[in-house]
Amino acid sequence: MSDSVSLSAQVVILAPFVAAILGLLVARNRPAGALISIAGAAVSLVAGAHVLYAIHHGPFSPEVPTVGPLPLGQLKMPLTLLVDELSAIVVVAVAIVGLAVQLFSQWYLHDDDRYGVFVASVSLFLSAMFLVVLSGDLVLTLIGWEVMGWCSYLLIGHNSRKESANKAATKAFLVTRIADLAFVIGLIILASGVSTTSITAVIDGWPDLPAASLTAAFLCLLIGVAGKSAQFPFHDWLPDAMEGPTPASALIHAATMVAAGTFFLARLFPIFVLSDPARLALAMITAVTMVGAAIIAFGQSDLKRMLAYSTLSQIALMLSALAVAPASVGAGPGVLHLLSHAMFKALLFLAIGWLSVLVAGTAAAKMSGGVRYHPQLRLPIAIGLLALAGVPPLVGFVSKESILGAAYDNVTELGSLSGWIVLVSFGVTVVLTAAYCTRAWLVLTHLSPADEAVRRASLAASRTVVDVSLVEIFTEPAPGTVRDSSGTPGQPAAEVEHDHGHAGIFPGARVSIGALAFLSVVGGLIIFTPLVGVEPHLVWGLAASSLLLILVAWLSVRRMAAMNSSGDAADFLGARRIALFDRGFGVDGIYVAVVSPVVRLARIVVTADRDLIDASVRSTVVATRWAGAASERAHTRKPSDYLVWLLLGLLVVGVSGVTLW
Amino acid sequence: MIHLWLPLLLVCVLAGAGAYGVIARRNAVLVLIGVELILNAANLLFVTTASVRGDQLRTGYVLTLFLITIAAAEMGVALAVILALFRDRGHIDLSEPGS
Repeated sequence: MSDSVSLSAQVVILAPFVAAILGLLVARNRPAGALISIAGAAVSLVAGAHVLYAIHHGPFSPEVPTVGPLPLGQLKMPLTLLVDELSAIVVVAVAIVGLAVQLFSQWYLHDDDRYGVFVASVSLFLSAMFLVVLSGDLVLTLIGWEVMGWCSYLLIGHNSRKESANKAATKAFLVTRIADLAFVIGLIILASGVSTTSITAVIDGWPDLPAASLTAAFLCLLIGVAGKSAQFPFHDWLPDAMEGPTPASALIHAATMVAAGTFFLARLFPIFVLSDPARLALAMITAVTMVGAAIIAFGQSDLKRMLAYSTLSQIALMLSALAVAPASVGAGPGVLHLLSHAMFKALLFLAIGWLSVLVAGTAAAKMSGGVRYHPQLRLPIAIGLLALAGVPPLVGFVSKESILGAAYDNVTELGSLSGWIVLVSFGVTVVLTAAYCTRAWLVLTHLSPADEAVRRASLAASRTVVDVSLVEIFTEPAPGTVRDSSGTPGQPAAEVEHDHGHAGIFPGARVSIGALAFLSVVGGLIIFTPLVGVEPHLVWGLAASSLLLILVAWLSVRRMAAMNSSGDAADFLGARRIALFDRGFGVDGIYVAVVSPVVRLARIVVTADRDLIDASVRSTVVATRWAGAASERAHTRKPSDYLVWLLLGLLVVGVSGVTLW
Repeated sequence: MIHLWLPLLLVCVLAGAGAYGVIARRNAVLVLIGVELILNAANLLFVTTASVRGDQLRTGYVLTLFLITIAAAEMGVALAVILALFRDRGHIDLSEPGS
């Protein structure tokens, strides 16, 4: 039994890795590439499901060997995988999203000439994510972590012919790289404390070690986690990363990579919980991110970027659960929200990606009325937005309530500052999340007066048809001729592609969206299973008040939207403010302000290096040349002059020889 | 046997004339003649000292024979160099600076 678990755990990581290599070899062959990539993800899903099943039915050994321990003298490096409930359930969730994304990109990128490279990168990315999730060794975690960062760079910059995509990829790479520096330092502190890189040994050994070093290690790790999970102040790379193709956004920037930080902290939760200063720091970071990102999301003129900001906010939510959960509750609520967020956010991204193909753009102005014209998207998007807003009984409600329960437990049991911070910012975020979800839905279902007239006319014309939604299907204009494509100038079009002649959606892509939607609806039932280890525990007062807040947000945003002819509640803010929101409140400016002194310092160093250090070396050359030229001028080039000197010299030698002998 | 100062004076005159020729002459062939004079002064010095010392192995005389041979060979080489110099420059004036 235990052998088969080990084998499956290894297959989970190796299958996408092999798929990535094979995929690169057949990058020009589209059907083969699609087959390999989908097969890789499917094998991982099956193997992951087997692991999940096996560890709940029978004995197993959690330590799974990989390449064997590295002989490093004092430092032990076992390089094992760690299979337990936590990693198994996350592996399955990642595999589901990965498979859905592979199926979806087969359709979404079906006319992209670099499809093969794209799916190979996605496969490699999946492999790295599985490695992080299953890793039982800090070194393996670091390897997966860095490979993910690199794959994310590749996928964001997939559309490398576009300047903005290149810039976004470079930005993501640099920001996460800088944060990773602190992450590595944190890992080194953790490993050096117990002289081993094994995660179980780290968890067992650190409670006996000084709390100050533990806090230092976790503060460093938090910087790395904030970089990877796009938390304030490293968050700005994620919205820009929407330059990547939508399937990549769904996989990386919603469901998996940004969740890696959460997962890593959940893995180390038993010792993270010991460090109160680090938990307070995390609570403050996440409070700023969850509220700030939700505010910015509301004002985005581009719906895909809105989803990106909502991802920031939701990731902050799951991290905040780790910041406040008492040791008795454990990392369960955070992981539960990780799982539920993976489902509904991947669903939303894929559905928005589908819609963006149909309406040729992701700007709110273009998507306006989108689901009216394309009613097949009504259900998936509605489910996704409801789950995001946290409406019962969808999965988002369940996970958010468990976080709320954790924060409530913290306030009642421990009464710590971080508990209050998270509880208050959670309340604000609930309102804001509901507000931007409502806004997105109203934009997507909006009909301009002219369209409304057409619809009424066709309604009147179709006497026999009673069902309004059927009429909507019939009045759907032919693809390609839909809507004028004149976006409002000055709006960032995150993605303009496939505007004409895109083939109808493939069954596989449709099924993957359906599966994600299904999981978003029923996924909440997982709380009644032993899979995540969260007690179903509802704080009725808090749940009721959050529902009330959602309702208030819904009604007020409806009112705001009704006041605008565009049906977009964000237009209430005015074009200038929306531009400010689109820039993310100018966080780039802060980066520039931080970076420019460094650049100036670098310039000074360069100048000093060039004009002082290098110059002194170069001056020897100048001096030697000058001396050479001077002695050349002094040379008479007449042998007789020098022969006189030679003879005189001989005379001196001779005379001194004779006299001194 | 003549007195020793006569051949030594001749050695000095020959060597001085040779050194003067080497330093003061501009024509390469005349410089070469100066060199030859210095060599012959050396030869004469060898012979003179050998006759005074009465060496068993006759080293002075043998060395003189060697020197005459080497000087002849050296003269051939030197003349060839001067010929090449003339072909290159069109003159053999040593006071002209080389390029």
